[in-house]
Amino acid sequence: MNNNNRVFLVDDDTDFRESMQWLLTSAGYDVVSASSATEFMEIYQGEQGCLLLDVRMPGINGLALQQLLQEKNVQLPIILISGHGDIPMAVNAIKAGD
Amino acid sequence: MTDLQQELTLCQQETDRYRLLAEQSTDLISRHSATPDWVFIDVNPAIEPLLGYRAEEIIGQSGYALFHPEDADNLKNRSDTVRYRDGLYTNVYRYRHKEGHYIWFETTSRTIKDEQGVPVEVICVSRDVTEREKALQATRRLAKVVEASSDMILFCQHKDLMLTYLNESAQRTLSNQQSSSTLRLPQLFQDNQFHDWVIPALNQAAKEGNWHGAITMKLPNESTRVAELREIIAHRDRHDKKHVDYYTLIGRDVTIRKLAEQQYKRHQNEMAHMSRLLSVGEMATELAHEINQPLATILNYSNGTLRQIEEQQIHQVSQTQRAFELISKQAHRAAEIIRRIRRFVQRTDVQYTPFDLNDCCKEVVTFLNQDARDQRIQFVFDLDNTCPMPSGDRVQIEQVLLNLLRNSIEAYSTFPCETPSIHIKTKVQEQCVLISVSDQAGGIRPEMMKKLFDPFTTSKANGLGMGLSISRSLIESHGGQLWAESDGTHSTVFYFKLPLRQTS
Repeated sequence: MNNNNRVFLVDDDTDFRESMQWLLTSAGYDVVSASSATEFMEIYQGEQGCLLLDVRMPGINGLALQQLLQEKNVQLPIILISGHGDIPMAVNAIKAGD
Repeated sequence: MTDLQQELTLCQQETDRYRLLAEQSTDLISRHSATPDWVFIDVNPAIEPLLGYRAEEIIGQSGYALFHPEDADNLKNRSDTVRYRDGLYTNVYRYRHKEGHYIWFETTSRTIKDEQGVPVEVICVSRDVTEREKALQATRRLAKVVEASSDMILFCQHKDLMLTYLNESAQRTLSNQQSSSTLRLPQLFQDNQFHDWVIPALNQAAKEGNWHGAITMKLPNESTRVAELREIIAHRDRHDKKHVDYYTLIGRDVTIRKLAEQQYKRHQNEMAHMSRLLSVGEMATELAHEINQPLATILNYSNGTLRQIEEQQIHQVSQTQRAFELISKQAHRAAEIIRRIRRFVQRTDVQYTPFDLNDCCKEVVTFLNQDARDQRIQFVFDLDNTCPMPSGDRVQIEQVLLNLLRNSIEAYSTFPCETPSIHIKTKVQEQCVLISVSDQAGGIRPEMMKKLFDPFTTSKANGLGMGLSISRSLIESHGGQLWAESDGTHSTVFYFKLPLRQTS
């Protein structure tokens, strides 16, 4: 299996998550999805790939998960997605990504 | 003068027989000069018990001087108190007693004329009618009160329901140009009102003496006023106490009160509408997010499909069917959210129609899904499926629920909790349905409880403090009640009750 094709998708909205999974799968990606940060932490085994993360989620939100992964030294590239992002949030996310 | 004296002596001699009668009479019999000062020529002994003078004291004195100033010219002025019949005047007036007070006299007088028709003297028979006059005066005053009352007062015969009297106010408000003398009670009400309400009211008055209530009266078509029958008093036959002779009906023009009520309702609805606009404004971010989700989902399906078409992965149209189905479903989801928001903020007249309360509870939560999800708040429903549909304005009830739920959600944001939940419960109770919204978000302090429903009371940093005040007035205008209970440290329950059978 080509690990470079693996996308982890974390979003709490089922419909959106399924559509994103469908889109990525049809583009040839291997998608592993989770409905919350907690669920992702349970299934993530340190594989390589890319993490597609919704900013706004109940419980641990996207930015918090980003922080958490950094603390655990998980070097997974993160793409944050947000339906209503603003500039300060983007700046925070980018700074945190350094 | 001496001629007159001689003539009088003759007269006295001629009437000796009558004098005996006159002396025994308790009525005052007096003779006066036919001059403006009306000098006493002779009086019978009744003068003493009536006016305090002895006969010899008064004879030769002016009779005119003893009139009450207001009554002195009754005869000259032909006032209401003077009657004339067959040459006899009857006058009722006040006359001064020797001790200074006045007594009421009823005097019948005849002017004696000589052969040439020149007045010679005036003969009077007077009677003390003080008691009668006082009673009459009281009656006249009562009648004036009835006539001048701003309330409508009507007399209605028991046997044929003919109206025998309408005071000025009643005539003005009730009767059109047609004569009010042929008016019957049923004409003053709508037929069904008369049968359903007025007849039982009359029966109750006949049985218990009176009736109190409020029944809308029918006014002439062109009238813009509103009047209500408020009271009925039954008057029994004077001889046969068992039978009602007639009724007094008292009605009131309530136009001003009704207008004020309507205006209050209008203001209340405008306030409610403004408050809804405000709520939606405050929830705009969450609602936008809520709409964004299906839109983002649609984008994924359409972008994916377009890409597949470009890369020629799709050979048959049917391969896109699934994506279109999903797109359609998401478009509906977005449209539904927008429909709900529009319905919530639309300015429409208040409509009292039966609505599904349980459905209303479930729907209002959809406004708050995003907010609740952010704080991991669970909505727990305990809805009574046997609940009949209460009658009311669904949007206003939704508004109240939304208010209560938003308060709970907001309370949780400052009171961390492991498993935050909000319970929404409906339960049928006798003639009403009880709705409760409860949370465990820290309770409400007792000093806050007291003024909870006062306008501009808020514990929120940027709240206006109108939510609960408006909610309470909306529930009350539905004939219900809204109240809160809290242990002050953990839990809060808001209750409201709606009547299930609308009694108007």
